Amino acid sequence: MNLLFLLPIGALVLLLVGLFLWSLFGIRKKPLNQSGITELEGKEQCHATHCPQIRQALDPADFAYLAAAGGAKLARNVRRERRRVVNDYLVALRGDFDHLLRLARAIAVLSPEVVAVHEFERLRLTLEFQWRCRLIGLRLMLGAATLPQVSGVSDLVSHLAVRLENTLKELGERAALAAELASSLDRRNLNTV
Amino acid sequence: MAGLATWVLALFYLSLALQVVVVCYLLSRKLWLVYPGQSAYFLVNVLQGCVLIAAYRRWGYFDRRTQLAGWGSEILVLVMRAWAIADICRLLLGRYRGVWGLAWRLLLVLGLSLVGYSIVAAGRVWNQAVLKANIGLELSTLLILVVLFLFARHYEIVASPAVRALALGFLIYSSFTVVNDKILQQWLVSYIPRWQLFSTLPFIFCVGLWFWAVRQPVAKTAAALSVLPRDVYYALAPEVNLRLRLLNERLLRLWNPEAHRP
Repeated sequence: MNLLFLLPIGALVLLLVGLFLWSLFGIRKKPLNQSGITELEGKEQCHATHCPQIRQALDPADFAYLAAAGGAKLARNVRRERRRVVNDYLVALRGDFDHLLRLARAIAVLSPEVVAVHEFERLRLTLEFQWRCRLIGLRLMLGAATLPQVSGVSDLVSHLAVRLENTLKELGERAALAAELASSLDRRNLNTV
Repeated sequence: MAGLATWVLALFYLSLALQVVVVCYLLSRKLWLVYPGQSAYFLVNVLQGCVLIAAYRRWGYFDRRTQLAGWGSEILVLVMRAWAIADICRLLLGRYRGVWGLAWRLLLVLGLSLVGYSIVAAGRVWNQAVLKANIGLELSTLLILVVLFLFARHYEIVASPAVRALALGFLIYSSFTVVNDKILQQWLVSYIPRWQLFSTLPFIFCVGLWFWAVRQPVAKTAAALSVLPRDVYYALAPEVNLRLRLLNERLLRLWNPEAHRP
């Protein structure tokens, strides 16, 4: 009995089942809810702030000095070690970025309405970011990426963090003001409608 | 009943009995209010089973009228299945108003397109068309469930055990049906006894899974969720997207500096 005719449809079914199981059992993070948002807000964005040290770690002048003072072997060792540190930094930066994205997703999940254009754009941009970050990591591994490039990435992430924090703070203040107003109207027994 | 082996008949009755148990459980616990689609699906399945038994007894398995009754009633079953799957979507995402508003539109468009394509692509030759349409519709079910759970994963929405089991049941059943129908389409009459076996056995397993699902505590599937003020999303979503776009442009320049040089 020849079962070759089953190959394309069998492969398609297996792919779909695999995708389903991946999406069903792949979520390891805590589910997003309002208390999750508070936790996300409270968490500090620490990795982006280490950029000056990281920038210095791959400064060409620094390597030139090391090569002149300690020899080529020392410079090579230090360069390898520092590249490893920068690579770790890039991973941590991606973690910061993911954290911000989680915050954005949590807001979408808890919002009474979302805009399809914003959601799809974020999905597309996230995929692009992940892909490019991996490529930069690869270039760094091969010794092709320079630190000003990496610092550019971190600047954007930290800007985003600051802007989001400010907006959230502002919204929190507005919500508190609204609650205070509502309770004072309640106390005066006034009807707002 | 001519044309049906005793063991197939036994499995058929077992499946029918299990479905009657599930329907009785749903009705007695008023769970049809929580799972209206699933309840309607089981009820119509039971009715279809009764119609088929009557048709087999009266006309025999291979009679054209029996086949018409079988495939004709299958249309109603498929409609109820669509409702049951819509129910799963609602149970999974319904609590999240914004995301649900986006998801149901997306899934409806996807579902209608897939169903339309399945029917059109099935052709007009009766024997082949029914099978082809059935394969297409089962694949549509699979795809809708996959998209639904990818959507949930994207937003880190965790499905309750009941919703997982309900979805898994439909996934298993649809997967088996696609493969089973494809073999039947190829080998036709010589495969019918095994086709009966391989369509009944997974179904019995799935009914068991669904029964387990509807017995799970209801509170876990329908807890209320408070929402943020509307302003929060409208203030933050464009901001995040703008920053992401800038970041991607910077990364693109970094990856290919020559392409962006003025």
